[in-house]
Amino acid sequence: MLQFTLRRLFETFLLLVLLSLGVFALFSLIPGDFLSEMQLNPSMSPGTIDQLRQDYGIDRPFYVQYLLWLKQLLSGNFGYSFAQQRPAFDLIAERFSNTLLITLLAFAIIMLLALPVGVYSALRAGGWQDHLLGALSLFLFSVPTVVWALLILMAAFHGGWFTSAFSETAEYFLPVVTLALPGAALVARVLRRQLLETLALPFMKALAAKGLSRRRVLTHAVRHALNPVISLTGSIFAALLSGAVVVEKIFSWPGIGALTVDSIFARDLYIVLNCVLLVGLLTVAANFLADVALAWNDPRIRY
Amino acid sequence: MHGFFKKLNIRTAFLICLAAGFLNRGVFLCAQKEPPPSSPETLKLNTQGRFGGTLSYALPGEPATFNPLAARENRSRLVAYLTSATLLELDTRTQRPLPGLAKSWTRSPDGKSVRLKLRQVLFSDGSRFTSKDVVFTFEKIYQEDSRNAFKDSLLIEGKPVQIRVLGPWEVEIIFPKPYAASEYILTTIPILPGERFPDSKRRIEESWNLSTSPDEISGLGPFAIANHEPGKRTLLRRNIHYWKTDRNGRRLPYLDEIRLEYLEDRNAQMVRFQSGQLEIIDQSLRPEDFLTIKSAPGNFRVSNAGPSSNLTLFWFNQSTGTNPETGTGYVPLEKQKWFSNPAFRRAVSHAISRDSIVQNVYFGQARPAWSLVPSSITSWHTNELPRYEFDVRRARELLRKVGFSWRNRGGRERLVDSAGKEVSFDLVTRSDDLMAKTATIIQEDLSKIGMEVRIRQEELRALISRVMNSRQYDAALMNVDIPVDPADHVNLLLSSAPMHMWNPGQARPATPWEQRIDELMNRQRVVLNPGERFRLYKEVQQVLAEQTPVIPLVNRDVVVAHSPRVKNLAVSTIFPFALWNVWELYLECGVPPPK
Amino acid sequence: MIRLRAGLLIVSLLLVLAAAAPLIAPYHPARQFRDFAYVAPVRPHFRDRKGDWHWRPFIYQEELSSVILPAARQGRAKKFPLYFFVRGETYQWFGWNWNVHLFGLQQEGFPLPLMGTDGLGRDLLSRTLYGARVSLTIGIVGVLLALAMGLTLGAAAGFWGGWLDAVIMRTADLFFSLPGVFILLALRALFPPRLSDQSYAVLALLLALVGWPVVARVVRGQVLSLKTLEYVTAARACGASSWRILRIHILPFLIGTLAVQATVLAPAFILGEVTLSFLGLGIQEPQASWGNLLASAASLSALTHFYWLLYPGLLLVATTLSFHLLGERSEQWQSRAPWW
Repeated sequence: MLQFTLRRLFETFLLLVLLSLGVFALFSLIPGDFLSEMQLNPSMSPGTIDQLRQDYGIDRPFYVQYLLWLKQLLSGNFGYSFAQQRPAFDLIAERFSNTLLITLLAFAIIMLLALPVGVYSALRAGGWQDHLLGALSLFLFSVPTVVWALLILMAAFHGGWFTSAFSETAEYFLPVVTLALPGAALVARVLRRQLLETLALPFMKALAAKGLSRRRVLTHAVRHALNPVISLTGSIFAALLSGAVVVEKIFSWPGIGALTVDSIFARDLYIVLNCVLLVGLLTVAANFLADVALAWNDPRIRY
Repeated sequence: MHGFFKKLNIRTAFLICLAAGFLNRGVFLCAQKEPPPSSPETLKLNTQGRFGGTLSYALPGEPATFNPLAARENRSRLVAYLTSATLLELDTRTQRPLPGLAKSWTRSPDGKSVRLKLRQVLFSDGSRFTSKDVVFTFEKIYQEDSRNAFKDSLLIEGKPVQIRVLGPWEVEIIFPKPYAASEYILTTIPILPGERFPDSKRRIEESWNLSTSPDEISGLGPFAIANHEPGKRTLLRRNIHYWKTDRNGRRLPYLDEIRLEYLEDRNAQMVRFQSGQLEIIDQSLRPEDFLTIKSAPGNFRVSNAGPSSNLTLFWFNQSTGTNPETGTGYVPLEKQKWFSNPAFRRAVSHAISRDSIVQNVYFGQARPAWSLVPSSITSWHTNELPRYEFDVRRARELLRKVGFSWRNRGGRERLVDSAGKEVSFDLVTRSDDLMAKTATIIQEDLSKIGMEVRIRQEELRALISRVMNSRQYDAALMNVDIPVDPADHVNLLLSSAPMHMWNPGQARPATPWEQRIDELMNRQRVVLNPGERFRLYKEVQQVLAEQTPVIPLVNRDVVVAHSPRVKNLAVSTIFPFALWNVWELYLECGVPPPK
Repeated sequence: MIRLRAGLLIVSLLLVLAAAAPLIAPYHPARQFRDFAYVAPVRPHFRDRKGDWHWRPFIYQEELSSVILPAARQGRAKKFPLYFFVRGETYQWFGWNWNVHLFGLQQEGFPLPLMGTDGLGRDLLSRTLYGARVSLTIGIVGVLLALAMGLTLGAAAGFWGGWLDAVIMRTADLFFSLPGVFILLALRALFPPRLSDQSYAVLALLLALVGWPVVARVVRGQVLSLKTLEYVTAARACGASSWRILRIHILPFLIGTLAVQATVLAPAFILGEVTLSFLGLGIQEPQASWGNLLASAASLSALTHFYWLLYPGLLLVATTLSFHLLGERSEQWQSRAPWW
């Protein structure tokens, strides 16, 4: 386990180095920089804009910028936001909790919704309930997040969901539901299939022959069928972060997804850099936790 | 019995909490609060209304800073407008200066200095405003490492202005040269509190950022920052020391609070507006939202305040120099010949249907534009210009006269120049829906006179960098905000200016008419008589219309949607639109919020 | 099995529609009828107002009224009959010039908006059909590219192992550890926007760059287990080259896996184009794709007043749904698809 953790840590470190270098390189390739927009302001002189370019260091080649950033990093400075003139870290910290909130809530909803539905449709396999749920989940999964978000917003608009007491709740609820629906559909389908396969395994018969109650047998089966679901959680989390970009934009939710997109458009280098690193780190952590959870659920798995 | 009471209590408590929640929102209750007493130095306005209430206003995102000197984009500029004040104020309808922090002022006959008598008023934190604060503000602007827009507009031909303190409430501002826009420039500079502003070693742009605690920030504006929730909203509370009063001598503003809601997405704004959580939407209203608000239940008002200062401009790249990177011209030689021909440009102007853009893109909430000065800038705009009305036959005639002809290829009619080259070019524009539609209309219209237009959409910064720096484009379509005063147009119109869109940064004027514009622009900077200045500027507009280096297409209207509760609204067509008289706005009582 | 067949049927139907788009579409997708902006979908009638039946379907002129423009003044009750195989605009199809359209009006200057029109009066049905070409091409070309890249890299990593394996799989991890949209945004920024005419090729490439690690992982796993099988060892003992072993003894067994991957990636890629268009980075005007058609519907006001703008979305959902039906039997892989 220790060796596994250490190897993971090393890989993560390598990943972060590559990612950060990539961001710097990409930024040097994209035309325009943060200050381009100021060139449209007739009261800014080109001299001032050039001075600002020097202040921000964006007139230098990207590898120089990268090395300078690494040097700064040693003193605990993650870089500065050009737009807001304050440490990028502050800005991201303000937004990060928002993203974490909706992704974790969405994750909880996915699990709460998908586990019972998956088990239920496996038990009713072939019945009309199973067909209905199957069709529904397939549909949920086939509609792009963008369209979901729009339809939900539309319902909120015509249903007046934002009025009075409900508005605070609606503020989170809508993005979370939009994020959770396709994920829940996916997990329910995977669980259903796995459970059906598990129920067909010989050890199920053995358990039943031993005289265990139907309920106990089912518990064993679900635990066995959960393995692939658990190993999925890492990529579900990555997908939620991906989905959060669009959802945050549509619902004006101040999270890091929307921040990243806006900062890419605004060429706010250090914000993009830190957001990308943070998201990379989060996904690695989620995958790691998924592996640990797998080892806990399935005693056969050891690292 | 005991349990019953306990239950009841909980219920009562809940109801009280609920009621408190409503009171907090200022939705139902409109208690008239006793306004703070006024002092003799305040400015009395002929206005009346009710005190109290919170107005919610949507911004498309967080401002970048709370520092008025560092404000570079409209969101920060709006916060600066609400929290700070200027020596003189601008009447947005006539573009004339009005008294602000200065009670009165006189300009010396030679136009080189302005003497101002200041009001004896207080900052929002209760400290005194004196001429020291004016001196401090100018020092900060000129500070060596400062990089703000004010510094550039306050360097008159490279030289700073001088401030002479004549008394604790009197200053003289001395310009290095006679300067026509001296009063206008004073309407733009926010005055900082000399004692409270952090005078650290850091650059001033870093002070008063979004992490700064609100009680460290003070100003002379109608409101002061009370609370900031990152990315979500900022609450501004009334400045109890504000220096304007209503006609009964009660201190303004009427509103207790303004809540700036940061809603990037327009759909989210519409949902909030519909449910009564936003009182006003102005700059971000899309043409189709107009329909929705008109048909929505809830008695919303939509009004068209007239033309804005935003123009949709189309121009050809007329750069004559060579690209230092490639060593060749910015534009291929044959294209340069077309683009530098005024008849070609006039023909293009005739061939584009501005009415289609107004109708199909803006649903009628715009108007055709003929001048580089939008008609909202009433004191400088002129109507006496040649108009290139939509007329395909006239366009063809113009082209035929200068040697173009048509031939048929692949079932389509193609325009060819005298050298037999087919006319086709790239049109770069911003990747947004309105610009894409406009570009598509241009493409279709120009195909009727045989030109082939290929549309390239780019995201804003890449587009600017292409048009201003690398200049690798044939034609551009952009939305440009035109500043109020010709003093700020200098960077746009002088042939040596970096923003001289069609051919920036010329060492020497490339054409005689550009030279004429340079002369006129330099003259209007120093002429003090407004009538004379207008005449000069009119000629600039006439030369531009004649030569059409830039083809103005449409001028968007300012459309404002607001709840019927908002009173005293007098929307300005230039920034800051609905909030320009924010001190006079009030919320009517007894009108329930829409369901 | 029924679902599989249904999926297959819909996918092939869509492919036929896309291929025959110029013939079926009554107009060129960029053709503007500016006076008929935002006309709601019209339904051809067989029975007129007086109650008489007609063999030839027709529409009333007044039905062509724009939501935003003042209504037409004359010809309110005028009938415009529909004709089949009418002559109209010239278009190129399979290298030939054609001017026959499956159906249309004889009146010049009037649209036949069976699916409504957009803000410039362009026929939405024509745009959706042409858009299907773009979106499906992106999906299919993207998948082929992703499969090719994934197969090559995955097989190489699995077969030769060692440092090659390490490099390839760590790169794949790099792509896995970042959400797909982030990679797309970064990569999209790399390509100059000048490519607009070929931008769908670029988009396909971008999507393939995001999708290949999915394929590579699966292929590598399969190759790892296949290469330990006895007949492979036997082939090696007979002196077969690595290349020959890969080609003859391993690749044929991967075809099933690749097919499954294709059904998973295709809908993900089609949705990826929608997401990019929504963020303003997809296919550009005046070209139509399902993504930019949907992006233009992405406003509450548009949806409230011009609900038909969402119709291309229905076709999109039908497409992704049918691909999912095709891939349903091997669902465990779906987990690894880039998902937005």
